[in-house]
Order: sequence, then structure tokens, then C-alpha cells
Amino acid sequence: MTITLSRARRLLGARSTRLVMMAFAVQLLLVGIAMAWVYVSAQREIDARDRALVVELRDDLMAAWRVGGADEVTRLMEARLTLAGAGHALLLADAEGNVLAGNLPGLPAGTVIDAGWQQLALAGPRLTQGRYLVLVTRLDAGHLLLVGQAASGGTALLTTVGRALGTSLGLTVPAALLLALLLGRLANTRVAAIAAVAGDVAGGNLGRRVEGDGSRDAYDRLGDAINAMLDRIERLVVELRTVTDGLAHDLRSPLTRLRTRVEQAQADGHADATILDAMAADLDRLLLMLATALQISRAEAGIGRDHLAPVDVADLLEATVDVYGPLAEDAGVTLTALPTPAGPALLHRALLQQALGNLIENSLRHATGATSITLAAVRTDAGLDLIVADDGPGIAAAQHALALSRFGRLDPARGNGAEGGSTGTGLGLSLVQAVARLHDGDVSLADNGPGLKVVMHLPQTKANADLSTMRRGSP
Amino acid sequence: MTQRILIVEDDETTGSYIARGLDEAGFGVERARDGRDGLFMASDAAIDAVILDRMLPGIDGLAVLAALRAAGIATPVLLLSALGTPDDRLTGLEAGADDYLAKPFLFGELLARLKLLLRRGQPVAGPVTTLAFADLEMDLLSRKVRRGGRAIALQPREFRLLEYMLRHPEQVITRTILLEGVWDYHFDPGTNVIDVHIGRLRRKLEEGGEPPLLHTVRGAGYRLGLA
Repeated sequence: MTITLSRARRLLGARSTRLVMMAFAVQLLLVGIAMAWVYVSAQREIDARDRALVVELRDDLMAAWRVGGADEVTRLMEARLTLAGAGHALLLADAEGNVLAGNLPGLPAGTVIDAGWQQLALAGPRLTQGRYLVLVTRLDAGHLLLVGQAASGGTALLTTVGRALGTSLGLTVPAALLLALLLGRLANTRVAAIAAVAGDVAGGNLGRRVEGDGSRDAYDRLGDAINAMLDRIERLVVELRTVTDGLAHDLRSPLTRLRTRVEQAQADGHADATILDAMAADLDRLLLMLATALQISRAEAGIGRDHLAPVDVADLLEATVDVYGPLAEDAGVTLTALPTPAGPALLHRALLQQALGNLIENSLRHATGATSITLAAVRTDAGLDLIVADDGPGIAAAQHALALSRFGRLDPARGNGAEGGSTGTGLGLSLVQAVARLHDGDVSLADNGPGLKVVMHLPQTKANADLSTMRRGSP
Repeated sequence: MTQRILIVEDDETTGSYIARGLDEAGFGVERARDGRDGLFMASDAAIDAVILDRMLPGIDGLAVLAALRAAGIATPVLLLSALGTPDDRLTGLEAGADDYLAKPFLFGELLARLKLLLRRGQPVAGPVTTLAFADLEMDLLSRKVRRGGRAIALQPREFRLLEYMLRHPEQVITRTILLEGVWDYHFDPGTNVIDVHIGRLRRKLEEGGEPPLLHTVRGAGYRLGLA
């Protein structure tokens, strides 16, 4: 009982139930209004017909009075009463109230003379008891003529109409209720399906998606929108996991080394300068990793968009070559920037410096046997492409997607190279992706034939377009 | 005359660490523990530079800075912050800071930057066309460099690097100061990028067997000096 009650309360409390009830109520109201209108107009019609009948009969009787007096009226009355059965109430009385003709025993009490329409309850031996529409007219010799028509005929009609309406209402109401419930159930079912998917996702199953029925209706589109959102969330979570896993993995090496050195110093009873230097280097590396991780999360969150400013792309590339050139040369690699007509673009200078630097270091570290790294900037229809290409072994085209999704995790030995001078954080390429996304862009890999070409696609915004137009317009 | 530095820092450990270091380096040190005191004390004309923490109880660092600049006080301010991203740095500089340093930092880095700030305030006597240190000469117009009688051929980037060192002789210049000052780079690549640059320049300066001029300062950076 309690369960049923609470279930009912829940059902009543549910927004969809309330919506269905409201739709039903509105429907009921409309049907009711239509019926009331039918009823009222039918009543009015019948009433008008009854009155017309009474007036016609009275006029006939008055004409008979004028032609043949009381005798003629009596004759006509009897004829009408015979014809019309008990539907009429007729009376001709003299000035003293004596009944001369008709089916009434006498002038009914409360009769008002020449006062228009009256509704009277009448009864008599030759008369069906009931309500009558009555006109009482005084004739020229003081005689009174009462002409009435039973309203009961009209009432019967109204009853019939009312019953018909009632019947149709009786059919409409359950039908409407059923339809409303069915629609509500349908909506609930589809919403419930979407909610179930959301629940599954919340429960940790990130791969679940709403199944569409291809109908392109509101629910189908809602499902699509939710799927798009889930795709984005899943991608971010996977990336975040990659970064976090990578970070945790990469933090282990320097921390382990630090611990070893501390133990060594403890065993020795003192720490010499070499050990302290090595420890400081490891600590620097740890700090750098954390700074990079912080930078990635901030760029992913879009923090820094307000520091986009016009940057001369050629300058950016030249400065990068300037800074990293000697490092590359020491590794036997020629670092060059191709001349670019790209002009200024709205960019986050510091972050792009960092991204380009990371790409160069990545090539130096992983592109074994490469002899050159080339920086280039190309204006495309979509915006600006910044390219870092090497002529190393590259990555097989089939593995580009995999490489991108696990950017920075390609070399299992990566992160162990600090002793050899490499101080990569392992987060460099994740940062490149984050920086591209900060500019609403993305990163793609291509074959450089031979070698790897990493392209940062930075979409051209309206502001960017204005900038390059300005540039072209000025001397 | 002793230069007086105001440290506005609520964290006792960091504050004392900086104060002790500055004291040892021969500076006079004043301390404030919140933004209100900091603002009040920084208005003192006897203060030569302010080391200002960004997150302070009461009035925060950026607000103190804005109030100082609004009052027309141009004392050099070095902003300290736990937020180390390029955007935080830009925000700090836009608010009127002269330099920005992310926590945690090495004291050497702070000291080097502080000294640069203090020197920046000193007037320069006319346009400089030549720079010299010991037997090293640099002609900024003809872009020629000589050591003793020997001409040294430098690449443009090496020339810029040496010019920066010559403009700050006997000062400790850190990697990040060089990256900022020479290339307008505002992040630390964390590799030995700068070491490679300095190494090449050093070889060219000393290939005639002359005594070293570019010294590595352990845990801090580089210094142009005779010993």
C-alpha cells in the first residue's frame, strides 16, 4: 500500500507526468468548451423554434377570433389539439375567467396578461404535465387567449444532444488520456535510454553511447549532442590519463636517482659537490616537469587566450633557430627556418616558442640519423600551419594516429636519458597539442619522405585575417 | 652607500631565506608581512627595490603594485609568484612589475635579477658605440670584436650574446635572464641550450690561449670577469 502510494506520488510528482496531465487537462477543457457551445446553441435553436410555433399558433387563433369569434377559436383549438397531441397548452376564457375552449381547466395561477413570454408549470387532464412556454393575450372583448408549447419536447432534444455529447466525451476522455499517457511513456522511454547511457558513463563506462534511430527528431538530436560531448570527454580523459601516467612514470626516474644519491651520501657520511650538482640537476628536472604539466593543464583549460597578440611568424621561427641552432649542430643536425611570407598572426608567443622548442628537441632525441630539421610556416585556407620536419626514420603512416594519441610515449627508453644530457620531460608533445588547442587548432603527423613532419594547424580567426589584410594593405 | 631592499612576503621561511641572502650580499633589508604594510613601506623613497610576493594577506601583491604605480612611485619591483606560467608573468609585467620570478627559485637567480633591476635604474651616459672588458673590445657599429690584437669572427647570435654579457660585466647572468634578454624567450627550455651557446662563445674568446673571461657560476649562471 505504502509502495503503491509512494509510487503514485512519485508518478504524480514527475515532471513528465505533470506535463501529460496538463496536456490532458487542456484537451478536456477544449472539448468541454466545444460541448458547452453545442449545448447552448442547440438549446437556443430549440427555444427559438418553440417560440416561433407559439407565435404562429396565436396568430392563427387571433385570426380565427376576428373571423368567427369564440366558436371559430374553439373549433381551431380542438383541431390543433387533435393534430398536435398533448404538445400544446391552449385556453380561451371570457373576461370573467370562465373557460370557453382549450385543454386547460382554468387560467393558471400567476398568469400575467400581455407580459410576453412566461415559463409555467402546467397540469391538467388533457395535458401532459410539464413546463410550457406561454403567451397570454387579451382579445378585444376582454377575452383571454393562452397559447403554450411544451418545453418538454425541446428538453428531450437537449437531453439527446447532451447524451450524445456525453457519449462522445466518454470516448474522447479515455482516448485522450491514453494518448497522453502513451506520448508521455514514449518520451520517458527515450529520455530514460539517454539517462541510462549517462548513468553508465558516470559509472565509469566511458565508451557507452546513445543509440540513435536516425529519425532526426528532438530526441535523436539530443542523443547526438550527448554523444559528441561524450566523445570530447573521453578524448580529454584519455589524454589526461596519458599525461598523468607519463608524468608519474617520468617522475620516478629522477626521484629514484635522488634517493640513491641521498643514500650514497648518507653512507659516505658527507656529500661532495658532484653529488650535490647531480641532485640539483634532478630537482631542476622535476620542477620543470611539474611546470610543464601545469602549463599543459592551463593551456587545455584555455587559460592564456587573453594573451594572444600579433606575432611576426618569420621572427618567431628565426628566433627559434637562433636559440636551438647550436644545440642541433652539436648533435650533427642542421636546423633551418624556411623563408615565410606568413606575416603576423595572433599567437601566444611564449607558448609557441615552447612548443616549437619541444618539437625540435623531440626530433633531436628520437630521429636517429637525421641530418636536418626544418621549420616552416604556411598560410592555408583554414589558417596558419607551423611545421617542424626532420629527415630521420619517421613514423609509418599506419602508426600516425597511434603516435598522436600517445604523443610523447613512443620511446620506451625516453625519460632515462638525463645522464646523457637529455633533460626531456616526456610531456613535451602533450604540451604541443595543448598549445595547438589553445589556438583552437590541432596537431597532425605526416610523412616527410623521409622523416617525420609535425604540423600545428592554427586556425585563422577573424582577427588574424584582419591582421594579414592590414599587412598586405600597408607598404 | 648600502642599497635598501624591501621584502614583502607573508611566508616566514621564504622571507627569512631572502632576507638572510640579501644581508650576506651586502644589502640593507626591510620586511613587510602583508600588503598594507608593504604598500606603506614601499612608499618610502629610501627603498631602492621591492621584492613583492604576489599572494599576500590583506591587499594582494598585484593590488599593491597597482597602488604604487598609481601613486607615481617608480621603485623597481620584482614580483615573486608560485604561478610560473608565461601568462602569469605577462599579467605581472602588465601590472607594472619590472621583473617576475616564479617560486621556487634559486637565490642566485633572485640576486642576479635584483642587481640587474638596480643597475637598470642608473643613468646611461650618452649612446654607447663600443663596449670593452679587459682586453676584449666590441664595436657596436662595425659589429667587430677583438681580443688583444686578435679579431674574433662571431655569428650574429654569438655577437648578441657577448654584447649582453659586456653590458653586464662582473654580474651573474642566469640562463633565464639570457634567454629573456637576448632572445625574448620566456620559458626555460630546461636543456643545455644556453650552455652550448656559452661554450661556443667561450671557445672563440679563448682560442688564442688567453685567460678565461666567461665563467660558469655554480648553481646560478654565467659571469663575465677576469677571475
